[in-house]
Amino acid sequence: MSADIQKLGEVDRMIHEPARLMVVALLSAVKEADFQYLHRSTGLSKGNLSVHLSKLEEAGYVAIKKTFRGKYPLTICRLTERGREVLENYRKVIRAAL
Amino acid sequence: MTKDPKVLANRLLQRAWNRDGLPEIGSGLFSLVAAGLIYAMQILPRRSPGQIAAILIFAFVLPLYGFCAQPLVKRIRSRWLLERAGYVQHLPNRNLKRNNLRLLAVMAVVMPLVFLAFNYSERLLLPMTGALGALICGLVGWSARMVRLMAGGAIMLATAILLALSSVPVMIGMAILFGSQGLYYLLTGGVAFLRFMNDER
Repeated sequence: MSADIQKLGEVDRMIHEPARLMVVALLSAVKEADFQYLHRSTGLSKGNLSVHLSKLEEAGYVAIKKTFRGKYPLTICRLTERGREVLENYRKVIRAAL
Repeated sequence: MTKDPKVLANRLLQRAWNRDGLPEIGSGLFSLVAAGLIYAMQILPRRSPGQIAAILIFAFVLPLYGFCAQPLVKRIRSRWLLERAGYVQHLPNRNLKRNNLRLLAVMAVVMPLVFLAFNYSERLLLPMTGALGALICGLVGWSARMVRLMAGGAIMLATAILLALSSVPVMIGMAILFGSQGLYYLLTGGVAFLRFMNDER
């Protein structure tokens, strides 16, 4: 087994999970997005998305800020620097192995 | 599902951008206006005020749409569709600008060469426009994996070839080509918009 494939065992399981990978990938391509945008774009249910966002926030990969725009409440999510680093590392490992 | 997060992110963003049908409605309207102006330039008397106005609008006002379309769609969404579409702030996309410039450069070289190869045949204008339109629609549709956008490209190419083979004058053919494309995208965009507004998610 080559070293690249062995590295697959070291991938970050927090973002390897498909739903969380989708959320993190999407957030990596935007400056920030709110809960509704993520819900619409990923197709995840609101409950499911909420759980995954909480896990990502706990891990320090996503920062969440609650605010208002007029009367409309916004839950704005943003990928942290740590989140970007982890995603980039994940990308390198996967690309090298596959 | 792709495992490359960058590819995945770009696909999700493209799908999100086209989900409510507004960009299609915009390009449909743009194509219909272009078709009307091309037709007006052909049927109005030469150098009449109407024809000059049509030429000026086509040359100066219409290209502005290319620069204004994206900010306009974003503004409509943030003003009226925030609760449904959600809020997003995009990163500045330098790659997109670079790719657009590359596409323009390639077309600037390829199109005159093709015209030269076919001895400046005027009838080439139709299939060339159809091929370029189909390429753009196909690339946008493929990057978002949206069949209706890719189908639009295929329809444009087929219409252009049919018109080129027919005895329709070239510029009238161009008006028909843009008009049919405009109607198609207005229809698909309208249906997508209605479905988006009725989606209770």
